[in-house]
Amino acid sequence: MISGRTSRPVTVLLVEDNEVDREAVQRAFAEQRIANPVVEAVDGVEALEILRGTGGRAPLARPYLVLLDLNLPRMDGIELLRTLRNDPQLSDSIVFVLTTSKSDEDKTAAYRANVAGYIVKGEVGRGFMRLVDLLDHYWKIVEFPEGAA
Amino acid sequence: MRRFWEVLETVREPLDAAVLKVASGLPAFAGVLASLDPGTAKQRAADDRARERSALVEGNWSGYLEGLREQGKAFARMGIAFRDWRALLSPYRRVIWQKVIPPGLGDLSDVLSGMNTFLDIAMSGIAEAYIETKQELVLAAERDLNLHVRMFESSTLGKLIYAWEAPPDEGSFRLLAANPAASAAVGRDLRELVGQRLGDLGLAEQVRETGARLAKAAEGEPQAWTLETSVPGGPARSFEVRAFSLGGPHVGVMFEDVTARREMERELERHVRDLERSNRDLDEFAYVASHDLKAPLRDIDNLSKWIVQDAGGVVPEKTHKHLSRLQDRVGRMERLLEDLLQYSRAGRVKTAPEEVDLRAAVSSAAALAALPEHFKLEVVGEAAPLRAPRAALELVLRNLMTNAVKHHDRKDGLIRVELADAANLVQLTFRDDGPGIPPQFHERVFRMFQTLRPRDEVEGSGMGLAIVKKTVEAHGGSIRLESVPPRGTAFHIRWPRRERA
Repeated sequence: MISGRTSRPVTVLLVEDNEVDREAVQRAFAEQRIANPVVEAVDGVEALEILRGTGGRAPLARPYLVLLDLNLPRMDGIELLRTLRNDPQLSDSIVFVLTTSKSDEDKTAAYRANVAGYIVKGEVGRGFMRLVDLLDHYWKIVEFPEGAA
Repeated sequence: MRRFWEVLETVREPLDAAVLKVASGLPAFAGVLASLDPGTAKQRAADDRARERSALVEGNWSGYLEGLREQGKAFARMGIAFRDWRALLSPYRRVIWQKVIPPGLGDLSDVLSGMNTFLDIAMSGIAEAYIETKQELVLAAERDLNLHVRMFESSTLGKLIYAWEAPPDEGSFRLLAANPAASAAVGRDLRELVGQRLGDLGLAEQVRETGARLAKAAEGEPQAWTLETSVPGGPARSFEVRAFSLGGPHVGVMFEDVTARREMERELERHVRDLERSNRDLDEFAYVASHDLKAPLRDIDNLSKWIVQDAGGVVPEKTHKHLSRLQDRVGRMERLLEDLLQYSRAGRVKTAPEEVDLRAAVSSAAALAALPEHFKLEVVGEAAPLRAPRAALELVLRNLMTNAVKHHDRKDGLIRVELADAANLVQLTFRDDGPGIPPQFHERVFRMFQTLRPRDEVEGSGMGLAIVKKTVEAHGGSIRLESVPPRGTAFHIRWPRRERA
C-alpha cells in the first residue's frame, strides 16, 4: 500500500512546447533541490509516444504524473487527455494542467477529463516556485495508482 | 277650386296683360321677354294654362308643382330674384277681386285686401328667411367642401379614390380621382388613368396585389403595405401605401415614396453593423494581442533573471544595470498589456446589475486603490442606491483615485467625491487638489496610451482614464473633465440609474 511512495521517486512528464517554460520548471526543481526525474515532451504526440513506449522505447515507468500545457502543436492538451482516458493502459494517469488559459471552456473540458488540478501559469508565481511546492507535497502525501495489471 | 278656375278663365285676357305689364317693368325679365319669339310665348302660355286646369279642376297638383319647380330652376339659373318672381303673381289677386267682389261691398273688399296683404307679406318674410338660411348653409357647405377638395389636391401625400364597380372582381376598381402629389410620386400624370379600371393596367403582379388590398379595404379592413416597384432600366422604388373604405363602393388610397428614407435606413444599418464589427474586431485584437504577448514577455523575464542568477558574479556592473532596466521594462510592458486587456474587457464583458450604494462603492474602491497614508478621502452629498454592475462602477472609481494619487505633486492630497441624484441618473463629481490638467490636454487624457509626463517619471500605461471613459460610456453614462483654477481637477460623471437593456 505504501510501496508506490517508498519504492521509487515519481517521474514528472512535462508536456510543454515553450522551451523557456520547460527550463523554468527544471530550474525550479533544481532550486528546491528536488531530484525527481523530469521527462520532457514538446506536444501530445511525443507525450503519447513516451507514455506508451513506442519506437523501441519502454513505456514510462510508474509512478509518474503529467504536467500538461493545453496549447500545443500537433496534438493539443485536451486531445491528449481524452486519448489517455480512452486508453486502458493509461486511463489512470494523474495529470495536472499547466496553462496560460483562464478560459472557462478549457477549464470545464479539462475537469471533464478528470485532471488532478487546473493550474494557471500566472498564478503560481515567478519561476513556478509554488507549483514545485505543490507537487512536492502532493507526491509525499498522495497514493499513486499501481497501474493496470 | 273649380269655381276659381271658372272665374280665372273669364279674366284670362286682362290677367295675362297685367302679368306682362309687371314683367316688362322688371329689368330681370326684360331680357327674357325680348328673346322670346311670339310662337314660343304663345305655346308656353298654353302649357301653363293646361297645367293650371289640371290642378284646379282635376286636383292634379303634382304636375302643376313640377312645372313651377322647372320654372323656378330656370329663373334661379338666369339670376332672377325670388322677390321678382313672386311679383309676377300679384296681378292675380287684383284682377280676380275686381271681377268677383260687387262694387257696393267696399268694406268686404278692404278686409279681404288687408288680410291678403298681411298674409302675403308674412309669407314672403318666412320664405325669404328660409331661402337665405338655406343659401348660407349651402355656401358654408361649399366652403367646407372646398377645403376638403384642397386638402386632397394640395396634400403632399399621394391620394387616390377608387370605386369598386363589380365585386368580387378585384380588377374592377375604377380610378375616380388622383391628386398632383400622386402623379409626382409615380412620375406620370395619373389624371390620364382616371376612368380606367385596375384590370385595364397590364402590370400584372403589383396590380393584382393592389386589387386584393383594395378589396380588403373596401370590406372595412384598413390596409397598410409597402409596394416595391421597378421600372425596367429604372431604379427600384418603395412606396408606403394605405387603403381604407370611404363608405359604399369607394376606397381611399394614400401613399408616399419612401425610397430615399429606406435607402438611408439601410445605409445607417450598414454603418451600425460595420461599426459594431470593427469594435468587436478591435476588442478581440486587444484581447488576443495582450494575452499572447504576455507569454514571450514572461520568457524574457525568466531569461534575464537566470542570467543574473547564473552569471551575477561575472558580469560587469554596467551589464547588471542593463539587466535591471530590462526587467523594469518587462514589468512596464506587462502593466501595459494588463491595462490593454482591461480596456478590451470594459464594456465587452457585461456583468449583471445589482443594487449599489455609492458611498459603499467609494469606500470599497478606495480600499482597492490603496490610498497613501497622507491622502484624505471625503464623500459629500447623498444619492439613492442605483442598479448597476458593481465591478464596473468600482473600477471607474478606483482608476480615478489611482490617477489622482499618481499625478499629485504633494505627498498629501484631498480627494472629494460629490454625490447627487438627477432625474434618471446619478451625478458623481470626483475632485482632487492636484496640479490640474491644462485644457488643451482634456481630450487627450481619455485616449489610449496617453500620458502627460515621461514614463520614467511617472510609471503608468496611460490607459487609466481611457478605461474609465470606455467603461462609463459602455454603461450608458458620460464623463466630462473640468479644470478648477488655480489647482485641481473635477471629473463629472453621469451614470444612468437603470441601465438600458
